[in-house]
Amino acid sequence: MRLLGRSRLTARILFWVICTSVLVFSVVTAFTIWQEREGMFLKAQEDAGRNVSRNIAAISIALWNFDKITLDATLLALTQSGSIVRAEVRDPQQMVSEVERVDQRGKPDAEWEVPILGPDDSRQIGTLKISESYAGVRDFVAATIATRLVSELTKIGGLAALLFIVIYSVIARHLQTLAREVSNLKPGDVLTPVRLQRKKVWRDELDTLVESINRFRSERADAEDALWATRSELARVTQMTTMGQMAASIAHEINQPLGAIVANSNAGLRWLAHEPSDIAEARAALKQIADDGHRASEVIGSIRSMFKKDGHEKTLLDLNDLVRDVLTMADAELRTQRVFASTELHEGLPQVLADRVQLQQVFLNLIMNAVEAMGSVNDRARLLRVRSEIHDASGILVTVEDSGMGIDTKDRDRIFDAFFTTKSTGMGMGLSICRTIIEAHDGRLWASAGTPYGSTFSIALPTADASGKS
Amino acid sequence: MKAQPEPQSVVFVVDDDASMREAMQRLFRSVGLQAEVFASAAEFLRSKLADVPCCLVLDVRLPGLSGLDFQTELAKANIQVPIIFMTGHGDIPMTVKAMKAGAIEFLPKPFRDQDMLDAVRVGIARDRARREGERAIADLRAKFATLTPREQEVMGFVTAGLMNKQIAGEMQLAEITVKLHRGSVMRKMGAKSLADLVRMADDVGIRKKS
Repeated sequence: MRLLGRSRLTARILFWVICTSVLVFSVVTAFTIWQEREGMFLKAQEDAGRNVSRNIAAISIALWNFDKITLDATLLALTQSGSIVRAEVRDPQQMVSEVERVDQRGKPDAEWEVPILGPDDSRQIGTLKISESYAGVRDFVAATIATRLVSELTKIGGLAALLFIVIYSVIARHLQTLAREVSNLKPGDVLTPVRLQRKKVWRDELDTLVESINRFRSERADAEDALWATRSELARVTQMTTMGQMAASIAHEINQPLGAIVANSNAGLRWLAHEPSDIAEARAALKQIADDGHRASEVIGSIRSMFKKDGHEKTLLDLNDLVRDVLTMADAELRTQRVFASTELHEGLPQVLADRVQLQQVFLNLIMNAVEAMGSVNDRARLLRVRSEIHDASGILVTVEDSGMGIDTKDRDRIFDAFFTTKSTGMGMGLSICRTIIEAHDGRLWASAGTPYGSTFSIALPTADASGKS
Repeated sequence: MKAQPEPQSVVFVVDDDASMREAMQRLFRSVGLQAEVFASAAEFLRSKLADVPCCLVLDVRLPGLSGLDFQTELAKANIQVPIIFMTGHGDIPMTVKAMKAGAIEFLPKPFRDQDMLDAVRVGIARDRARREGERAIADLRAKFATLTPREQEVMGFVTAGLMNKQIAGEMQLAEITVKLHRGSVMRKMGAKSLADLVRMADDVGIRKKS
């Protein structure tokens, strides 16, 4: 029954098969039995008629001779078997003989009379009255119906069981497998082709279906891969472009006062070289140079404060969600670099008040750094682990660990400096910006050596409650 | 003060940075160049410019119209002034675009003063040459305008390389009349030889293709 419950399709097929066969078999059986009953009635009547006509001569002679004993004996013989339950003989005036079967109950079903003729066949000397009862036939038919019913029901039951086994093993269980597999499909799953538990490939509709599902899955997986690749490429390009634009803007802002300083000092030198020197012009130039120097310094100060501004939109965030989002963003990169990423996220982490995009950048940067650090690792697994936990009373600690090359001890203090890089392609701004962002959130970012190898970057951030109070 | 080496020339500086403008003006003044400064392209266009040899020192990044767009606008308006670009942060495509559009020089800030002064001198020299060329052509046009219609027609045929006889045929004149016209054309245009006249016809732009 549990199987039936699981396979509603089989249950429906069985229901209709059983209903239809019960109906058809009942009609056919009823019709057959009715016909048989009719035949049996006819036969009983015929038998009775034949019995009477066989004995009518003896009855006639016995009545003619008025031999009552023979008459009684003959009538008894008539009523002994078959449908005749009662026989009586009367001459025109009176009842001569009457015999009734002892077990007869109720009224007879049919009564008929036969004239008794004399020896010369010319004159009626009496009447034979016959009473018939078909109770025997009825009893027989009733018994037959019961037997038939049981046998038909057994047949139907057997057929249904057989049908169930066949349908379930040939179709339904495979359909169940397919339905389960297809409904479990999720984007980004590791791809294992759907396989049916069949002895061999029959090349029937089911196999075609499985084949097309598998093809569809692999095509979809390819498309997903391409999509992820494009997306992460886009994220990287956007980051690069933003960095480039920022660099251009900074360069412009600083080169402006620098240009003025250089032009002024050159002009000043030229005024001093005149004969005679024009001290007033040279002094004005020098004053201008001092002003521009201050201006350049202010530009740099404003760039620094740009990262510290509270103007960014801070919202309540669940760091676990953020970590998961970033891992999804980096998924394509992790996959192509064959990095196995795992998380140990403390559930029910208190929320933090932070700028989502900035924190995403920080985590993405740390994860990408980890992936790059593992790029040359071939003799051990490339493992990336992100953990979150509650850190003392009012903070959250998130660590990003890798099994990469680790950080040289002498570099450990410098990696957060701007323009310090160990990579051949890199501006050396990533970790510096990361630390600026985290510090702008009243948090801390530091690096330590991993055990037994690799490195660990830790971020401590105050919870929303704690930062609200401070 | 030294005698001004180029008394009748002016450098226009367009830069949105006041300090930079002042520094530029001081630098040009120290070598005796007259400089006029503007904060934006619009301000430059609004001002009445002296008709003397000049050149334009333009910052790429300007409020409103950018330096490169301004260059395009000037070219469209047929204002031919040599341009020297300077920029706080320039990239190669920007430089290429500016140079292709006819800029004299593309200087990143901060620049060496000598580079800027050299570029400005080149620009002014180029503008002066252009102005002189234009003036010569204007003279020629004035002389050409003094010719009678007949003489102008004869000059066209002559410079196209036709012989007097052929011109007479074309214009249905006597050969002697053509000769007379030709003589007065040479005199009025101040041409010393036929080759001279042909060059003048080229400059004025009336020479027919033979």
